Amino acid sequence: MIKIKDLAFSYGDLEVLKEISMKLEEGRIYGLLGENGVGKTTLLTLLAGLKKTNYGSIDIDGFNPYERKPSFLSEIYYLSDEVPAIKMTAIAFASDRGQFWTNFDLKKFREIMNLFENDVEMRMDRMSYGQLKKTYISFALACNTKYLFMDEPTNGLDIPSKAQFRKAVLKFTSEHSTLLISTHQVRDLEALIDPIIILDHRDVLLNASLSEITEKLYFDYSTTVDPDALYSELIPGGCIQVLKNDTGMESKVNIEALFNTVHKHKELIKDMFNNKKA
Amino acid sequence: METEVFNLNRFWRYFKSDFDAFISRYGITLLVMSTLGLSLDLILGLFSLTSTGTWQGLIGPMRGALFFGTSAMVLIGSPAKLYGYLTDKKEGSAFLLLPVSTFEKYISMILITCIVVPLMFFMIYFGLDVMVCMIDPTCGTSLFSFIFYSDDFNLFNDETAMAMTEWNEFIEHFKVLLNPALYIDDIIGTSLMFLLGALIFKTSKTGKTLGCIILISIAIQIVITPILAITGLSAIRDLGSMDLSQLTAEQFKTSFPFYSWVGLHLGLIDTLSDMFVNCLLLFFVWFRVKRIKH
Repeated sequence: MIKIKDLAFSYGDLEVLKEISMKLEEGRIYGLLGENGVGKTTLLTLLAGLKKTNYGSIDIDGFNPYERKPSFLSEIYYLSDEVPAIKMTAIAFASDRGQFWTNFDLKKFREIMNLFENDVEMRMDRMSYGQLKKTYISFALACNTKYLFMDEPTNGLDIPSKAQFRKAVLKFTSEHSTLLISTHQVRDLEALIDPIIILDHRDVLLNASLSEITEKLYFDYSTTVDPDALYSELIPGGCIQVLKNDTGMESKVNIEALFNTVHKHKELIKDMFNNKKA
Repeated sequence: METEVFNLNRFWRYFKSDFDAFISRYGITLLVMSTLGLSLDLILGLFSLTSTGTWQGLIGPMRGALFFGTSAMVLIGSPAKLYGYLTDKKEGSAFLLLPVSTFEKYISMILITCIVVPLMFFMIYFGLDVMVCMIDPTCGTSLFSFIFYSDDFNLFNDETAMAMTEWNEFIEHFKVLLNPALYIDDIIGTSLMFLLGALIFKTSKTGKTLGCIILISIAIQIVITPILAITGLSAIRDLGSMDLSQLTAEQFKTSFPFYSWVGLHLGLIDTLSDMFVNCLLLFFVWFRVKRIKH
């Protein structure tokens, strides 16, 4: 389990994260959403141990990530938004680096690469950005780590690859693995992420599962705008609006609408969901 | 708990992987640099053969100068090529998150930079040079023999030594400074300095490191020179008042005990000071690797 308590981080005078507290449970695929500059990437790098917290603590199964102990590192993989193009073939890269992750599976790497229609014998420094990203995604999934942190994994992927990515994540991650995926491309991952974390400057606005969200909010697709709607937006053929779910009716979460609702009614949403603190 | 810091099996796997990365990143450059002597010898020999009809490769002083030049380039340039990527966000992050302990990564880095690279360079360079000198009669003494066995390298030739018999004890200790083995720690120190620079500076790593070394040297001179001038002033005055042609080694020892002690322990002082600097550099490199963030 990941426990974040009163986490604060700043770049010099620029405060990015302040008093962030949350718990991430095992076996879930968390979607980490937030506006530009709220500290999503910073949070992921702190979780991976690439940065040291200024204040507060991060506890991942008893480890402090910044100590970067081998037994901790072999249980995590951080897939950065920007990945290096190594001067070796994908398969050579996977064999060379994979040996350090206890549960790395080269066969699985080949399988995922095959799913992505990526050539394992191709040199990584000759790959397009999308191909390179798919190689790293394949490697990340083949590491079979307990915790997988992904920063904008669908950036640079073409339309078929985005579907392949969803398929690969669902097929090749263990039910005990915890994934934390930061993204702006919410539609790419709509069917994948649950729970959803919405980060704001200095605060966690929402950390709730889809069932908790639909329990409290109702996503209405209709032609008329309800005056009590917390948020409404015109879409082709009508509008999408978000209302308080007073009747207990079920609905399908529209993540974009949810995101905008949360940002429009920050305090209300925090009160409604009693913003889980660690 | 021990396996978190050092595990031989994991370290060996990492070292092999790091060695492969070294070959991939710097192998060709190292090969070019260590065969530069042979290549230039061949080019000059062929040029001479076509123009004068006789084979004449690189002559002694040029071979020596080329060897020292290429050695310096390898020692100065290789650390940035090999580990400069650590300051890069993309590649540096991958290095930090590889499930190997920081200590193992550090040891591997030190072994490759300070031992493997210089050793491979010197072995190939000397090996080819010996080979050339065996085949080419115009070559003369090989660099290896010249540095390790030649009397020509001895600045204090017999004639001078004969004339200064009384000072032989001091001369013997000065000779220690010409022992090539004494420069192993300097080779390691140079590699460490430029490795530290490669881990600190994000761009122009080698140039900035050179600049820093020059600035630090100037700063040390500014501090040391007045101290030496003040403390050694009386000794210089005393020396000035003496008839130096009549000065004997015994008189020197009695009148200037500190300076004679220094003169008689030059090798030890050099080694100890180099070891001190190298230990400091090793600590700073470790500290940097341990504290690096992305």
